[in-house]
Amino acid sequence: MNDKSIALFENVVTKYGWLLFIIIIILVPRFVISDYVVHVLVLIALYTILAESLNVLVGFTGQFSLGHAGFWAVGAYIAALLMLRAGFSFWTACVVSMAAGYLAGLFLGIPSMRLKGDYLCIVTLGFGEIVRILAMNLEVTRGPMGLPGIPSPEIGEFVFDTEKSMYYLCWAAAFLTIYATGRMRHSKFGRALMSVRDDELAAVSLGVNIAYYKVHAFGIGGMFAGLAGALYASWTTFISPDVFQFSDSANIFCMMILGGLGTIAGPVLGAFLLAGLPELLRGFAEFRLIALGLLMIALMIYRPGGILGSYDTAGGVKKIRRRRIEREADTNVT
Amino acid sequence: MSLSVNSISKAFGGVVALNNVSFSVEQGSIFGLIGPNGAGKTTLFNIIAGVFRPTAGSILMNGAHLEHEPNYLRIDRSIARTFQNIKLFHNLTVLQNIVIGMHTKLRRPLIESFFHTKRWRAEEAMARERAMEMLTAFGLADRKDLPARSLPYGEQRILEMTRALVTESKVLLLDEPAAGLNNVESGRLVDFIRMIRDKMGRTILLVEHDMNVVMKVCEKLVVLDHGEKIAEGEPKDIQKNRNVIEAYLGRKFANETEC
Repeated sequence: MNDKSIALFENVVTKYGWLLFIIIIILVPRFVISDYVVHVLVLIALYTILAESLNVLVGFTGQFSLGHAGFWAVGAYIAALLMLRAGFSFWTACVVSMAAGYLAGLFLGIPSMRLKGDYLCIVTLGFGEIVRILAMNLEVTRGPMGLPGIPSPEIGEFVFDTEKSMYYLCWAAAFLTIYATGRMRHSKFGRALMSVRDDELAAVSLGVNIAYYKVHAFGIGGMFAGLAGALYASWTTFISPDVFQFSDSANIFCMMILGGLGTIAGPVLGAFLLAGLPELLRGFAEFRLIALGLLMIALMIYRPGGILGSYDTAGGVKKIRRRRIEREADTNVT
Repeated sequence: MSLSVNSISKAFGGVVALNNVSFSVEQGSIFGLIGPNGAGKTTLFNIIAGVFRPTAGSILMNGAHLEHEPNYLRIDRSIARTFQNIKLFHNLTVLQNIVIGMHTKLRRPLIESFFHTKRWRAEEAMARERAMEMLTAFGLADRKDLPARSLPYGEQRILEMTRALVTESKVLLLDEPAAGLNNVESGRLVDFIRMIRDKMGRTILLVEHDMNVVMKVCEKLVVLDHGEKIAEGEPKDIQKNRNVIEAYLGRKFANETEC
């Protein structure tokens, strides 16, 4: 392909890519009869929300967090308990668990003002474990026995109790998350987050209150993870501490890195690859983890920023055009 | 507008980096802060910029005490700065870098950006327009969509200054603006600094090692040595000042030049 046809392709993709994706997602259940495939796609929707919300923390703000399953668990348990014990409807429980995720984020964000890199990783990792161990030991969460019988969401007479209805609900939430993070990226708030990521001192010198933005990045990341938690609880109708392991935090982290750190489409792609591929490769059970490991290694060597490129200001596909401008700029200088 | 530094002292443990330094910067002047290595210039600069808190003394801007304010509030006090080793947002475009300079001026809350309300769009359009104006004025308009890291060094410096200027702060602190520039570029820098003062009416306080630049551009100088102010005055007087020659070149040389 020459530059021109690539340019045409990238125009179509950037303009209509999301629309196309939404249409495909809406149409899939019409053609797919197998509940199993729909089930996997619901899981991918939830992982999309999680990876996208972690992206606000890591991709935008540059704060490494390995405790995202903790926020997920907070959301799931709060929603489940409110519905089971207090008789809340799913929708109110969902809003409350988002608020709880937000507060948990702020709480975890406070040490983030002083910690960076590896140290922050350890603190967030600890947070994930604390949440899991609390769920394991508290009476109200019934420890390792978990919480069964979580009701499904309802609107009037309609109950979201089939895979397909949950599929639409979860993807709607996923698109909401994608939309919100996408819009945020091009707002004052998003720019401030990215300025903190790129250079804290410079950001401060321009009047960016970095403590506020770091803490709120955690808050917003936690909020959407709380949403994913509430949906998850209601979808599986049963949660236990085993679900929210460290490996899930790591998995979400890998999705975001694999797809493209700091991009909007990246985490979605990552969720499809890391939640979808293992299902496709079930036949090769023992080899799939090896294959995934090799994929990650290859990626880190050849595309360290992820498949869709990292920190790309204009979105992955516009890269080629940018390279052209850069080439011209170089020739102008010399 | 007036910025004054009143008997500032700063000690790092037992090391006294600054001892009772005072001066005041007049509005619309180009003020230089010089001294040999280890004289405490950068420490003082950082105290004015809010990175360090002084051990004693005060910094006054229009009569308000700044010495204990957190440093992100310096912009609200109309003080902007640049850095010795250029600090840009490398992964963001040139235009985004400038727009972040307007951070404190954008008022619409986050929630409005989700719905792209009319007021939000108006504010963003205003910010972009203003940013483009500045980029055009400084000859970076055709670079607006490039990531900041891809600019050549000289342009990165200009971008950093443009970003500090777009904050509309009355006082601009420049930390070694000529560091790493060649003769031609530092000549351009002198014109640039004068232009900022003359056309945009900013007050400039700079720390600099390159004496060519300092003597050409500054109207008033303060010389520090071992944390103390040893001289203050116009560049031509400073050049003849015995204390200054002694501090830079040693007592023997100072004696020789005198006779």
